[in-house]
Amino acid sequence: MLTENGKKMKATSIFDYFSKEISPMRWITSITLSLFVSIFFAVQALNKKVEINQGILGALSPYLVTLVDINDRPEILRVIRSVGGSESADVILVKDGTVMASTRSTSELDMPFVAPETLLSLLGSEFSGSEILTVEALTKKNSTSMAKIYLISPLGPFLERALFLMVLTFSLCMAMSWIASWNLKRILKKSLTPLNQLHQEIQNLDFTQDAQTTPIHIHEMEEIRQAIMKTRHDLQESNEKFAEQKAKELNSQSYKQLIHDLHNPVAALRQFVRIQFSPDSDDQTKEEALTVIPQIAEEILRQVTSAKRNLEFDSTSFVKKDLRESLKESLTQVNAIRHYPSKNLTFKMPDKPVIVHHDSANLKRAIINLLENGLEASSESVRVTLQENDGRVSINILDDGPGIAANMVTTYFQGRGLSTKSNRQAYGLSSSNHIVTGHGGKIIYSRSHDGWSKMEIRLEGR
Amino acid sequence: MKIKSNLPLIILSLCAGGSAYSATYTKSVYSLPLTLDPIKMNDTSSLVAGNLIFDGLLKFSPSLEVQEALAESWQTSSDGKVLTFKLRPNLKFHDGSPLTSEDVVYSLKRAVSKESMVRKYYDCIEGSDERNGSVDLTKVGVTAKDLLTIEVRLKSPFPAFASVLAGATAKILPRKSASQKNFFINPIGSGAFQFIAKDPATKTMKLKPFAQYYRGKSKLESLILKESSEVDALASARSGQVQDLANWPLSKTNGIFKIGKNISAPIAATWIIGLNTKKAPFDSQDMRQAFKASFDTEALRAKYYPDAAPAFGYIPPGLPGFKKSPSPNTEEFQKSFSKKITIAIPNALANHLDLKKTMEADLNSKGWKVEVKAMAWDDLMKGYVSKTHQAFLVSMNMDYPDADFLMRNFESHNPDNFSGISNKELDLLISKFRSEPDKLKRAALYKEAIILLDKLALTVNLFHPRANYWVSSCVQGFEANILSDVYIDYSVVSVDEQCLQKMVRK
Repeated sequence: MLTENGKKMKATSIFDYFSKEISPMRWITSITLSLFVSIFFAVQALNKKVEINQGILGALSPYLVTLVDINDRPEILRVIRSVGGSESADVILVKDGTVMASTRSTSELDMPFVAPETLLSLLGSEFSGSEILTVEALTKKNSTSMAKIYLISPLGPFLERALFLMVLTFSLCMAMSWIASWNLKRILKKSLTPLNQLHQEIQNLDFTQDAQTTPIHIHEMEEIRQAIMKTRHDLQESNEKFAEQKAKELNSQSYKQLIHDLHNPVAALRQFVRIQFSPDSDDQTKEEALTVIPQIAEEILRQVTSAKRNLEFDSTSFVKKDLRESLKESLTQVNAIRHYPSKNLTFKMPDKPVIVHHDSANLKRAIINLLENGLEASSESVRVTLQENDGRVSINILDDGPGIAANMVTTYFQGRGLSTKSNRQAYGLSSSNHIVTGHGGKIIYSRSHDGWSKMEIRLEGR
Repeated sequence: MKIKSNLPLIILSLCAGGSAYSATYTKSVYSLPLTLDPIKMNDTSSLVAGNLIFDGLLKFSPSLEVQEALAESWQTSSDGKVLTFKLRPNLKFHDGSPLTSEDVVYSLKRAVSKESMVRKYYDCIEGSDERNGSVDLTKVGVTAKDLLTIEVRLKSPFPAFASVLAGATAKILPRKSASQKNFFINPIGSGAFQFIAKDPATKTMKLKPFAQYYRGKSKLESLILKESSEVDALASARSGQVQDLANWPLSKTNGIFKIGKNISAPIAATWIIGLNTKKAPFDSQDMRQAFKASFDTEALRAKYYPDAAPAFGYIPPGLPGFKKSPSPNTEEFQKSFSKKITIAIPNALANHLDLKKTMEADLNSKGWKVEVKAMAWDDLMKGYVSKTHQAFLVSMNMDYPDADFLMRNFESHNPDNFSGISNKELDLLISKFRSEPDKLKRAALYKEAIILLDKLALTVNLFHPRANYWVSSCVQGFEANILSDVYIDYSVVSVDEQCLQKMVRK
């Protein structure tokens, strides 16, 4: 497909277009939703975890305060190990800056406690890069000791869960959007059926006059269909008027042509009649004039007879029709007559219809005449081709005969030349020329590049 | 009571024996076990070996949790007086014979018998009292309910009894063979390691993993306890011939840690100068207090064991009864003694000469006539048992993590009462806290007893050591036990043999 500036444009289906347009939306929606869901649940889970941690430490602290007070490390270790095990966390009890009990390692017992570096404080807990630090002071009235219990939970599992949730949500979103998109495409495809129907209506508009149409159940499209139907009807009427007008115009042209063509023979006839009756003319001259006068009269009669047929253009027969049909019928008719059974007659036509406004009966006569001339003049073969290029239609009739002299072409086309045909089915080149020009076209004689004589009927297309 | 010394016996070459570089694990010890009979063990070297060969119903985790060992579960009655143990099924002794509840009953009754040196730990068991110089074992409250179930009845609730059963003396022996003569020459236990041989010539004891051990066979090919001095032990460690110096009281600044791992942890111990109240001048409480006040323990600690914690009391940190600050000096102790005072210290200490000099200089400058006498471990122990020393340096380790263990040293009738003190008030307090189930009340009684002990001045508390266990960097799975090195679980220790060979080549 070409764009306005003549460049090639890559056309795409409406489904591909739809997929392409919806794809970024799907990705953005999925990523946003998965991020939102994962962050939301991660924060919820962290909040819950912090609450649990604080709850555990809060519940344990009275007992731990007692154990710290009596310095019962074995029992403290048992308690914090139990908590640490169930919470998959490290629990460290620090008294006066020294580790009194730890689930992490026995090596840090009785050593100064080094608290993990925290990055932010949130939800009542401290967060390092990899841990959640929940602290509870273990205070006892009248005690000079300062004890704290630290519950250090790894952040990794939360991040892993959040990541898992993100991937899961993303996958679900993508799957859902894919399903939704697939369904939308399906619906779109279904909804395009009336559009296709409409498209068909439009396609049929110009040549299938009797095409059956079905009402479309979508209101807007049905209105378009009705408009098309009306347009088609109006067009048909317009065509008929155009054909009538064209017929009149052609008839008028034919009269003018006849008058023009008769001018010379009639002038010649008058001249010879004058000679016949002139006292100044000698006998020999009169004798010659007497011989010529009937010949010229015969020629005038022939021209008038031919012209009479050309004046029979009928407005109803001048319609848009596939020229291939008319050409095929002409060929069939010529083959049926079989004046020249030993000669080859081949033809070549396009696969698609070649729609041209024409009077099929008259144009067939012109074609048959040219075919007969070609067969008569040919040595062995006649080729017929039908071509359509940029709205110009050509029927080419080529024969391998000697052809005609270039200076005689106009004479023959005007109907003044003498034909050598014994059993004429056509009406000569003049008649054919009349018919073709009546269709707004012309006949062009030339020699083809391989030396064949070529008669080209050139018409304007649709 | 058990006395762990820092007393390496300077002895032998470590080069004896075959290839030391297989998956054999060599642990250097300051002394080979003096006995392999659990009820006669009173020193760390024996307890270390006993803990490898024998298992008990319960055991200590590295952080003092009492866990199931041969028993797969246990219950305590609501009144705290009856403990019921259920054995794991299909337990075996090293000779392949089954281990049943009858073996447990036999072993626990043996622990309260007259021959037991540790019966004081078990005297809370019903019927364990000595009458007319003997104990009627048929009346001892330990009975087999079925092949796998044992019931232990106590006179009164004793919260620390589970810890006693997790200790190194509560080991289970095979009833059928334990009474045989020479059983403890080639003992049969149910522990992770099986006794192979003790060689006095090379001063080694060889053990091999017990294939049918209920927790799975150890990854070691064999385990050797090798007696040596501290100096030789360090040299052997450097050459890759020894993989374990956990028996040695090393400072974290020791150069050996540059080539191995330092597994550091506190241990429940107190280094003391024990004062014999049966010997002048320590038969006088005033003199004991004066002597104690003269002792610059902090200077000693800072100079020789800087990573140890100061000891302001007799009980180690982390246990009820622990004193975190010194008592205020309200009295001036001006007294001095004109006669010589001898303090016995183990000569196996690497720094014993320097220590002697420092202590003598310090105390003598304060008006005392002190002679520090370094002696062999055996001699020191003999004097300890016979109570002939005036004063002596020992490390008081604990067999179970309860102040009760250490304080009973001062019970009047306890044969292990090294101080010889006889104090009714203290006896009463000990009796009270032993049967007090309430933790707070118990702690209050401990506090009361500690104040009394301070007043009685039976020990000069030097410091609470911190263990710096050296193991080869090729050793995996070694974890310190905060009670004592006796309880290190060697069944999970392994050695990377290739690493070891590489190290030796290096």
